Amino acid sequence: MKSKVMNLLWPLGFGIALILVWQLGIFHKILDLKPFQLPVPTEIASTLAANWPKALQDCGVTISGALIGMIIGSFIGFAIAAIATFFPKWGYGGMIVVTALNAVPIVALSPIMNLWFSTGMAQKIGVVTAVCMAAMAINAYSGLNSLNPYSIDLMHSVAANKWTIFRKLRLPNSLPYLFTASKINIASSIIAAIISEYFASSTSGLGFGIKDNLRKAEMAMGWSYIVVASLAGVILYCLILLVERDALKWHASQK
Amino acid sequence: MIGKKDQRTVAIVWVIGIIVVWELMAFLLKNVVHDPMAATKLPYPHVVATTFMENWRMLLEAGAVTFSRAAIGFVLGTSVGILLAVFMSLSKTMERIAFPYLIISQMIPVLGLAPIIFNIVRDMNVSRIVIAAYITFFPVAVNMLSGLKSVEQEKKDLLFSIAANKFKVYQKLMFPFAMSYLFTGLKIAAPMAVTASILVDMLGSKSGIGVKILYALYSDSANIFWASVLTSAFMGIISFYIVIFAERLCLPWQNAVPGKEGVRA
Amino acid sequence: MKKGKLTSLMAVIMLLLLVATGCSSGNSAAPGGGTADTGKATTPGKLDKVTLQLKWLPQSQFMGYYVAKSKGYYKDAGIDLDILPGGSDIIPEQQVYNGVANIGVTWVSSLMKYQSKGWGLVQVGQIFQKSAMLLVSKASTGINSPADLKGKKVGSWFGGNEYEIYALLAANGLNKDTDLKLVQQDYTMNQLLKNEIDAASAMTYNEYGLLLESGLKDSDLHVINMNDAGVAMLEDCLFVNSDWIAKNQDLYVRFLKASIKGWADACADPAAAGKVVYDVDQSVSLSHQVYMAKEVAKLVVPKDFDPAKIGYIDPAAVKQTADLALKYGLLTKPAVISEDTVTSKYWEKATAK
Repeated sequence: MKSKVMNLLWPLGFGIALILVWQLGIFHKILDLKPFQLPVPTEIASTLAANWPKALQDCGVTISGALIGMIIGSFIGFAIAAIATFFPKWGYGGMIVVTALNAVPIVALSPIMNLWFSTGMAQKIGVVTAVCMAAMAINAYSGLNSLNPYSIDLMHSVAANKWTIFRKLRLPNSLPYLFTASKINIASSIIAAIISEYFASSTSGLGFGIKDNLRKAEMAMGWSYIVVASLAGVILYCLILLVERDALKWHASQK
Repeated sequence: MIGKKDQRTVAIVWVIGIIVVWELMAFLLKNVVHDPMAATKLPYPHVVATTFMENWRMLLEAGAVTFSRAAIGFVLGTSVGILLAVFMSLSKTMERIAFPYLIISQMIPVLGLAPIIFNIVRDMNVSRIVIAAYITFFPVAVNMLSGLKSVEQEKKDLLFSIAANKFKVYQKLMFPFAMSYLFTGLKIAAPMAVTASILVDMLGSKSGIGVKILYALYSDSANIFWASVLTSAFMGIISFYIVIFAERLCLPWQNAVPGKEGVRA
Repeated sequence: MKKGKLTSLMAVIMLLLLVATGCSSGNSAAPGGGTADTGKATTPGKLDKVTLQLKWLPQSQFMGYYVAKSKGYYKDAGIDLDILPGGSDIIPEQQVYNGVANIGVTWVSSLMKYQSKGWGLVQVGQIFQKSAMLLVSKASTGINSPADLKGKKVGSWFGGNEYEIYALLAANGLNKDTDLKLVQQDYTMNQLLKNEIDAASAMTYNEYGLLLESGLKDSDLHVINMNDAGVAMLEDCLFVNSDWIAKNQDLYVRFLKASIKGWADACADPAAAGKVVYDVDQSVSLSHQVYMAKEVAKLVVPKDFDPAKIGYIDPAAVKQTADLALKYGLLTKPAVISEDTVTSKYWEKATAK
């Protein structure tokens, strides 16, 4: 119990220290920034408090798009990795395609999705899906294939077919990798959703809020949105950690 | 191990397959669905190829600039990522402290970040590389940490029992074990470095593929847009293969490309 | 065995780094250094280095500077000018304030907002005498006057570019939140072409031309011009960091003089100016650059305007911009218009005979 409390206190304490340093202007001195370039935490907090309902609403729009896109993208990524595992000769091409997709920047993906889909939400989901596929595919492939040779031999010795091997051996083996990919994807999906909102037609969403306000010198408002995005990211990440802890009870990383 | 000849056949079939499907979809879009924006939405591959051929020098030059920046950012980001992962694997406390802030760092979009980084670094080109590294270090750190944490306790106990100090444990056990995870992370991070480099191209550089994409987008030159997107995809594939090549060098016992049954280790 | 592999990894990394530095050093030297530009290679030495930050991509919107550079006017004035293009993530006010660039091009309304927040920036020249903002719609939608915008979807780029539209709506008794839907517009005309929006923001010199190039004719389109509607705000101007200008007055006057000459030449021969800009970057077609050049010339040197007076800051126009900004919420308190925020003294020196 004590360790759990300590686990929470440490990052919290660090965070508070960081905020204090920021508030007292030490960052500004070191980085030679003026308060109107980088607002102090109290200013950000008060601006956020004043605009809380809208910020929350925008957060909902962005995060829902990010989550849906991440789930779809992870599914497709996993499917590609599974195909590559089942058909090692021909399936690997799918992995290469997904990697190529990973190198297309969001600023190019966004306008393309804009053309293909007409609603802002569909476009956002499209972009996030494309961004999340690669991380999941590559990690899942690693997970499905980094097997202990003894295990595979054991499976063969009891005449297990490909499907059984998949279910009983590869899938459980790949779980840790899937969680690793999800951790990466949580961050990628939120930032992808935000950037895609730069190009979308809707005026709601964190991305629009950040871009619009930063361009108009409303630094406090822009940074409030960034703070909201960060909070959402951390909360979602902690959720994944919790799920991981239960699902991977047997794994070395949880001991 | 799949024979080289087989690999080549597979690659050729895939490439041809993709082009055929693409042509088909473009054809459908234009002539069956009669989409008025068909040429911009999904242009014919042969049109894009022609544009590419016509402008290959410009695209190649731009690609080289972006790629070199991506490479430097990648190396920087990877080093930082590995260091962070080691740091966080030293104790659970370190990990709990650091991770939330790592996530938060990734949530700050470049629009807000760029002026701050410039103020620290005071040089536009160096800030570009820093931003590229900033975006790259995260997947590397996550994967590397995952790898370091996956080492089974028995193995660590074994080394403890022969009085190996922490450094030796890392050197002889954890690093080699984490290598495969690390390279998985690198395979994800390499194309992302290209993406990051393209993103920072748009921060006012005069050359680079990102600039070409942006300009083509805003002047409605759909063909150059698609040709540039294709170039960036190529660069991603090239970076991926470079990582695979490096993996083969460092982990010769691992089959980087699938073996007969997809068994790797 | 392991050592050998580690060394090979190191070798690969070293090689990559070498290649990378080789590639990049050829393209990026000192801050702001770049690849081939129009203009000859300059020998650093006696020339003063000046960096100009544009508001957008290199296009005829900024032809005066490119023409001046290609004709060597800056070199004659002892200046080695580096022109930095803008982009979607580049905010000129921040670039100039941070010192990435010495002089910047931005819209007056945006500059006023930054000034009101305490950023130490000064406007020192007004290049575009008239606003180029339009609301364009297809004739088939039937929007013949601002009042017809009621209930329609109107596109705006936001980020500070929406205030002329707000002024237009308010001047015609429309409520921007309840009477119509304002939609974020990307920097193309695709949304209008696909009928996703009824009216789109467009600049006379750029997006309107894109519509014409996509096959529509003037007769297919209906235009609401901000100048005609009386809600125009000043756009492209020159501004600097107040600390920088205090130490570099003479340098700036030389720059301005050379730029005015460049603009005068560009407006006199827009076709040639378009070609100069095209040589800088071929992503935009030559014909589009020439179209843009011709339109921009109409804004920089409007009818009956003396080309020698390019850059003239019209106090009445500045006041109108400030008043509109205050009235429609861009500014929360009246803009301070004084020698510290808007000054013509450098322009007067540059145009003195």
